[in-house]
Amino acid sequence: MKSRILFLLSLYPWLIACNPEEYSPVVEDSYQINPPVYFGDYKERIPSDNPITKNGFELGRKLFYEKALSADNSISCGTCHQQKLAFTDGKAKSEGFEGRLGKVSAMSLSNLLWTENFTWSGKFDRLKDQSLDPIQNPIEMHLPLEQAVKKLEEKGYAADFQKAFGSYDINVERIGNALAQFQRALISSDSRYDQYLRGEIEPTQSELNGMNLFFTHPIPGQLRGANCGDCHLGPLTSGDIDGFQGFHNNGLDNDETMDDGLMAVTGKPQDKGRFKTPTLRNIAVTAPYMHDGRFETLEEVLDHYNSGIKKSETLDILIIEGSNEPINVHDEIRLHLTEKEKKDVIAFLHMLTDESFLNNPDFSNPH
Amino acid sequence: MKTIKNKFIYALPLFLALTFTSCTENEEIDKGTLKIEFENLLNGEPLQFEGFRYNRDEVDFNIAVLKYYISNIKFLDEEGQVIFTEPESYHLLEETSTRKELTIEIPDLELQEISSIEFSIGIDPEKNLSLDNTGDLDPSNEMAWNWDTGYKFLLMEGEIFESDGNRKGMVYHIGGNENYKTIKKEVKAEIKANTTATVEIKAEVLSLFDAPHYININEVNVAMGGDNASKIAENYANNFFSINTSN
Repeated sequence: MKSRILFLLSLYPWLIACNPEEYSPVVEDSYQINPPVYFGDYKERIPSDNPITKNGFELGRKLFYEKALSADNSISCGTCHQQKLAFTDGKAKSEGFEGRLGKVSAMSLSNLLWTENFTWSGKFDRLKDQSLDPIQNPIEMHLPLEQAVKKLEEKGYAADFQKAFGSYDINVERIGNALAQFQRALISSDSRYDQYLRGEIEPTQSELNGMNLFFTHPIPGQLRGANCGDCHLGPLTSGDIDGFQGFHNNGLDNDETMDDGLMAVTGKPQDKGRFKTPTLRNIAVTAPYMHDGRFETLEEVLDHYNSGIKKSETLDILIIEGSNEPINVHDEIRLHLTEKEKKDVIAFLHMLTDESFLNNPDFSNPH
Repeated sequence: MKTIKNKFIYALPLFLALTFTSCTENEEIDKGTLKIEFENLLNGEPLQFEGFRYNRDEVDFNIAVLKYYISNIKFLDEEGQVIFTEPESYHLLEETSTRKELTIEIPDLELQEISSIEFSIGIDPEKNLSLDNTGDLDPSNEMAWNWDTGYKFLLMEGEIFESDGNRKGMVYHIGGNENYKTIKKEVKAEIKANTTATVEIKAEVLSLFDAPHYININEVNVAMGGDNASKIAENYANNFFSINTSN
């Protein structure tokens, strides 16, 4: 009997070898994210050992909004990352355990597949590691990870883990993986700008002018530009994905007063004051702005880039070399935009708001 | 003993199956591979990045990143006839202090002798203004400008150090349909069965600023369109690439 089975099995290679379709196992439970083509290839950006599955996404979502992951059951990821604010919290600096203040503003979470080196200073290169950090960080949720596992067991999460990962085992690795799956599925691609790119709407004259200014590096006397697209690249409006090239010193402070930024991670003096370029999608709902939330409005942000740049040793050359008027090396750095041009850029920034993302029930608190 | 014999008989198809699992309808034809290896040079020496200072036009400068698109590669025979056109031929070559992607590999080639190679710098107008592209044209690879302007064909960034300590950038982003340039170079390469032939192409950075238009990098430290970008494009069409055929 055994030999017969062996015989039948031995025919199997014949059956698949001449199949014109390549054989590939199908994950039945796959969660479809369907981002637009112009975001760029992403399949290779999803770790092969952690594909996004429906059950993994649902577990990640439950964990994202699970207050038991904080020491006093008062905070979840969703506390500082609120969907209606494009997963930010409206505060300059986020409050963690017992109201302790962090040093930086909660970052918006969207289109994370096309970025690496997470956090303002690039501390974590993998989403899984980044996701676990706030849980245990004393100024955030302040819960040791082994206790997190225990609390999830007590709350009856084992069945959810079984559905997502095939066994009842709850462990730190799986918590990180589930959170990463949920966050990778947070795609924002239905703003008015996307609708324009798909040819569905006509932008206003002001939006169109702002869009062109946004993506144009100015050339004095030849080309008006607001110089945003040099760092906020392409339709994603986020930073360069390659290494730390998407980290820039955007002239917030001088050498004496500036925060370390990327230097805290790399130890290199030339990285001082360089911070991660955030996506500008949904930027109109994610005030206040900059890594420390120092600007309340988009108008203040435009004023900063136009006439508030402070020189320093590490100020980005793309800012030094961006002006609509000829600038001599000893002059202050000025973009020289007109009031109308600033308003137009802001009109374009408002085009990046994606109501369907902010209100998508799949991303809401399931508890 | 009988049982053992039986088992062998049963297992025989397994051995056969594992030995010959290819379809007989695809006759194996001998094919070869061509590898095109680019090397970036400055003053004839391998290009060095941050931390290494060069001098030209009475200023010190360094280079942080150099990227350019090589596209629409064709091979020609000695009569100048096109004998091979690479489909979907778009290759982004990049070099930074931590990254070096300067090789183009074209596999599954017919056996042939190549007398010259034609390729373009940049993206042809048809592809240039559609950003729903993938692979090396993937718009998230930071070479796409926007919908209306298409891609940066060549990007070089660095820093100029003036004697009084002032910081100045070097920023050259060259693109635009008018700056799409096609060049032809003689090569000697023979595609042989099951082997890889190699063509080495040198790219001399300073030739971007040299001829036919001399460009003073301290005066023109930024070019992102306009006349200066066109001059640099005419320079890269002229003498940026060279192939040593004396091997």
